Amino acid sequence: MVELVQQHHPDLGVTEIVKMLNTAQEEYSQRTRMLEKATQFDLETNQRYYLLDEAILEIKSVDMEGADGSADHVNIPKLIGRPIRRDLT
Amino acid sequence: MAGTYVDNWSNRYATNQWVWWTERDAVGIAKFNPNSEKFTSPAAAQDGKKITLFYYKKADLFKEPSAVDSEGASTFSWTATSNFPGQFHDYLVAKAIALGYEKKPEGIQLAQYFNEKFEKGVREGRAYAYRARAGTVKYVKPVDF
Repeated sequence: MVELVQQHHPDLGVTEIVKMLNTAQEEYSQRTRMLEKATQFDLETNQRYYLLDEAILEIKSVDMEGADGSADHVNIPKLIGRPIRRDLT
Repeated sequence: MAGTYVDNWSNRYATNQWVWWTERDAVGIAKFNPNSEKFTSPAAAQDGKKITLFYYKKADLFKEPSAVDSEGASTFSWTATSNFPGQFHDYLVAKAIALGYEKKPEGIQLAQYFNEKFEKGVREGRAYAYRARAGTVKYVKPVDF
């Protein structure tokens, strides 16, 4: 891909071209929402917030391992808005 | 907001349920009681329960020539490819070419041409993502003879 850009811009360095390709990739990711993935983490006692990876653009849905030792993962709804009473745990 | 409903998580009628939201670059998970508007953080009973996030992701960025791994070896590759399906790579190249032409006063028209090409790629990419590789819905227009 770098070489294809170099055909139009032979005066530009490779680093600059890579930066421009990355700008294109970021804009394309943001606007098309084409790439999807899933990740897992464990809940911890009294911890309400879990940091999101930088690669996450937008959460589509969240599943939680079922109650009573069930291995089922069930979808939990998204809260509309934010909690009225907040805490930082 | 009083009432009961089926809590997905426990699969029974309840007055409160587990919900998620985003705040300060984090996802919040708590049990919400709409009657008292109170949120309760996970307790010992939920410790270790798996949470699965389904999300839209950013593409992995290409490594610059100066990038090195933990052993000092270069991670740059001339043959690196994008995470996007191959049919969209040309549009990424078009955007990079447009960015290059935008820096030259005499290249503005060429920049516009390549930006339009990229915009076409965005439209095609959105359609591809929307169909989610399940095929498109074809609409057959009735014709009156």
